[in-house]
Amino acid sequence: MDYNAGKYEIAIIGAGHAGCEAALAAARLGCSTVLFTLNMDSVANMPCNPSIGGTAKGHLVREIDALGGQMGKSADATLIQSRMLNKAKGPAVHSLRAQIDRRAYQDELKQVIEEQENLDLKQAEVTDVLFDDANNVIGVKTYTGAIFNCKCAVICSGTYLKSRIIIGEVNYPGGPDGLFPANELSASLISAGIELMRFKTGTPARVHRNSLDFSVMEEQKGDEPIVPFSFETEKIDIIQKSCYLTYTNENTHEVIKENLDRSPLFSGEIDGVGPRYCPSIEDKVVRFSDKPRHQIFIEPMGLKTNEMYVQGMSSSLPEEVQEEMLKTIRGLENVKTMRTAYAIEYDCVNPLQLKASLEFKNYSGLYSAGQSNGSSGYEEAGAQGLIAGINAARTLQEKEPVVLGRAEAYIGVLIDDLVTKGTNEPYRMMTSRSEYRLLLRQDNADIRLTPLGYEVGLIAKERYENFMQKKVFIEKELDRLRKKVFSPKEINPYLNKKGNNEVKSGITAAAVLKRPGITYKELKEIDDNAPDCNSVYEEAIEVICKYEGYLRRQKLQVERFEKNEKILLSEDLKYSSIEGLRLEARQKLDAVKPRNIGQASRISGVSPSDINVLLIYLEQKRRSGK
Amino acid sequence: MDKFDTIAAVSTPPGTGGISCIRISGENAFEIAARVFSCGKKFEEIESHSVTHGKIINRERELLDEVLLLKMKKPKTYTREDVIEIHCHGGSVVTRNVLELLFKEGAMPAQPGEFTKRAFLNGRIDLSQAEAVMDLINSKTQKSEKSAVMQLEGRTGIEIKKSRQRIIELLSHIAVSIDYPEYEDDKITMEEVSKTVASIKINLEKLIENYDTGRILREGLNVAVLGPPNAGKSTFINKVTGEEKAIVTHIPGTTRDVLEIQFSLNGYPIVLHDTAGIRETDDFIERLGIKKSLEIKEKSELIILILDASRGLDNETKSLIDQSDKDETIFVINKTDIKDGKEISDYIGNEKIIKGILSNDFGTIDILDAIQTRIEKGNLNIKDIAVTNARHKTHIDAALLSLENAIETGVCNGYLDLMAVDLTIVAEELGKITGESAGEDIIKTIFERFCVGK
Repeated sequence: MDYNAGKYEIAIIGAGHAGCEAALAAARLGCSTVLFTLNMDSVANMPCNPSIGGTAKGHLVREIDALGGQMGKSADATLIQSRMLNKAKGPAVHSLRAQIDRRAYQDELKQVIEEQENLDLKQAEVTDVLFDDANNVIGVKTYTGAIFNCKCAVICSGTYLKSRIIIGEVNYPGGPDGLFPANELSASLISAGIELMRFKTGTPARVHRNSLDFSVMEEQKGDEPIVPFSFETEKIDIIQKSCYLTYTNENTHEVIKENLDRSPLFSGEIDGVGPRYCPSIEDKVVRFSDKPRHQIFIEPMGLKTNEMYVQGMSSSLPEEVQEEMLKTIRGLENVKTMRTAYAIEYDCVNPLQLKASLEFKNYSGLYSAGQSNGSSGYEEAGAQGLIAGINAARTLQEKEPVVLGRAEAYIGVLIDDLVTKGTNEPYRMMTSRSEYRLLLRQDNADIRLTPLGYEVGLIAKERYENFMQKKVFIEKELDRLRKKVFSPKEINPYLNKKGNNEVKSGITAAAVLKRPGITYKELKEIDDNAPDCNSVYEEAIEVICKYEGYLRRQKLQVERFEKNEKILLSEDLKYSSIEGLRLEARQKLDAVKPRNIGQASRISGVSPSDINVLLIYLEQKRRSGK
Repeated sequence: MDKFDTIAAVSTPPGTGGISCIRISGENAFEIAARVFSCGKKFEEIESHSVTHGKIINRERELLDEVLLLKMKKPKTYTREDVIEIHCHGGSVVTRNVLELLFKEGAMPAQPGEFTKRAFLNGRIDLSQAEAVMDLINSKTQKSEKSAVMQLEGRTGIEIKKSRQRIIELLSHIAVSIDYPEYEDDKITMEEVSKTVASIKINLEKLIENYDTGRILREGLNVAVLGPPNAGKSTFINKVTGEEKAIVTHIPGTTRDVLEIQFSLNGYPIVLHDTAGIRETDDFIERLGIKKSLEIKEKSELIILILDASRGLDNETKSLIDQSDKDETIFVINKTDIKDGKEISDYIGNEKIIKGILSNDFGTIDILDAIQTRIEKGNLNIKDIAVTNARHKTHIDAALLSLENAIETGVCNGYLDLMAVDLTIVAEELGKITGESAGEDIIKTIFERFCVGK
């Protein structure tokens, strides 16, 4: 019944946001790659909110783009509204968020994949990963018995593994958006010895645009001009769509409270661990009972559909209760639901089994990325997919894996958190998870990562040269601003106009820029020697000048942090045999197998004195090796 | 290996000896010493491995102590780094002040076993001793961790935890407004943040002020006087306070029922903890009193257990004896004029027991002699509170600096997220004292306090 269906270097299991990035990266790096999807019509699907980006997530998209990934470009091509969030706050937390035409995004990405050299897209359910006796990946098998030989496999199974849909008292095996679940792969992984966890998430209802009364809601328009995600997109010229804001009220909460006993969350029907950061509406009403109302955002699902996404109303209450609940909301009195809200439970990999390269520690050639690693969100998935795809290709090409540090990228923070600390709920990226967020801004993602993307081979020479021009231009201009001195006569009228204190002697342009309310753009008007440049360059220059002191402080923190990151730990270290380590530390260290002392110190259960013992042990080994 | 920080610590045991030695090690050791040491010649002219007489002068040009200083250039030193030893002559308080000055000048408090660790990592100590070094670090760390935990149960610890908690709440509030900008509830304003930050800063400053005096007053060997009600504890304390001329001060203890008395016993600083107030007849209060006494017992290096011969060997006496660690306890049987107390001394066993009639001053000197003997035998488990204190202080100082930066940010550009960068450092520094890390705490607080999500 089984048959040999062919040979690839890399197989990607699942064509969601992680799988697409992984497949494109692997193929672009020259590896023959096959990408499996359960359903050809669900490639790069967005089964939850029709948007990409947001705080910290927007940073991830920028980083994916700076490394040569796809998400930013495809989002730029299909967005229908764009906003820069947190504009009133400091530059480090400005974040791009865009509403996406969901179908258009899928078509766009599917076509990119179809056109990609070295890459085949196939509709099939992968049921088994095949290993040799030494736990090396040798192939994958599909439900129809097709065996594809391969050296690497990347699990990007999202929320599909043995997934169950829960709507009130009704529950059944099923994937997101009415798609089929993948029921077989879990067993294959478990029998190979891989530990799986059971997580839960959920999505709100989709409702018909014509059944809503927008006149009683608050309209939210996009920003003009649109700032693109990709550093390569020059301009986006579209007519933007609006979102709408409305609120729940006491009647809504009454309906929920009356029907709580029918919620599987409270009756114990759901045992998967749900994320704290996206509680269902019933969860919010119970836990924050003093709040008279909760915000509800109505978001368009695309240009060629009347479906609207009801953000804030994620729920697993019975269908008829959902209906009653929605109708209590202002503007939704006559609502027509098109898709019911549901909770979904699924299997995922415990990420503590992975190296920072996203390869399994004990299974060579097997990688995992995205929601199957216990994360949440399209952007988190895409970021991991990109790294897994790059590293699978690099392993085959016998190159060192790419591992980003916590001080280099949000992607580094994301992966380090997952593989070092593990997670007990779907992991969402947040700015507060990054210790060095002043350095990890969305405006400088290219400065941080594009040289690496070029070195890896995902950034074309032309793009790299453009980038280098930008970099040199910025450095030269910064240098000039630090030397350029304005006389009081030149500068005081401007300072006066901006309500700033006048100066008595000369002041450098860089010093003027540090003052509140001063912008580089305005300053250029009274500066005869200022060079011409676009607004992206202007922003970069202004940020560096304005926050120089903070950036310097944060760089010092990074230097201290990196000391321990540079003391490497071998993968073969047997912690269980190191006398002097506490038992708990030995077990944890053996499980995580940290790359360096810094990572070791972030493992919960490893104390500073354990780290000291490790240092002594390393020195002892180094000397006895002589 | 990378370069280490420059570290300093008192390397002679506290409370003993007329001279105490402070050791500084690291690449800035000479530079730091040069700033505080004054003698006839320039610091760089002092020869390596030679002894120089001079003065330690603080930034206010005040003389702290007359000392002998040993300058030792690397690599021929214990740690194979530049090492300075300062031999102080002015007693433990002065030594402490000199050490504090070194911290102000940039030295970091040494971690437990750190000199030895460096000696090993820099190749000074033979490979065969590696195991011993690990053991040393482990045991020293455990001891100092125990001592740190003890301190955290006190008022200082509670204050630090409270301040840290307020910072975490501010941070999570700021984080919510960054990570969930579309949610309009729960917004925090710059004014609110600045006000809270200023109040936390005042609290910490107060703490450090009190902390310095608290530390000096409490410095010394902690001796607890325990016993059942009316056994003669207060009589003993009164005799000591009445006759000892060297009493420094009376201070009310941290709890209403405990009195601390510091005096010098032939040069050894002693802090006597009286556990009065256990006399209430009400059961509940009595239990409370005993609980407090036991807490003091836990904090002290030495216990004087005064038992009442006239009561005979009752249950309370038995339980007090059962709970005492014989290595740390001086047993006293009082009121032997009323009853000989033989059944009590039999129950105690082979230990040396002082029998006395304290109200007639019979036995007081014996007890004081016994304390001195115990100190001089040197096998008391000295709880190294001073070092831990210094470490706490460094972290509080660092927290204060970052609070200042945060306030400045508030005034200058008003970006809450920039303020959060400094506040995170504050939380981390205070967390180093309380043993908590900021990251997950902030996120946890966000989801507990704020209603956000899709």
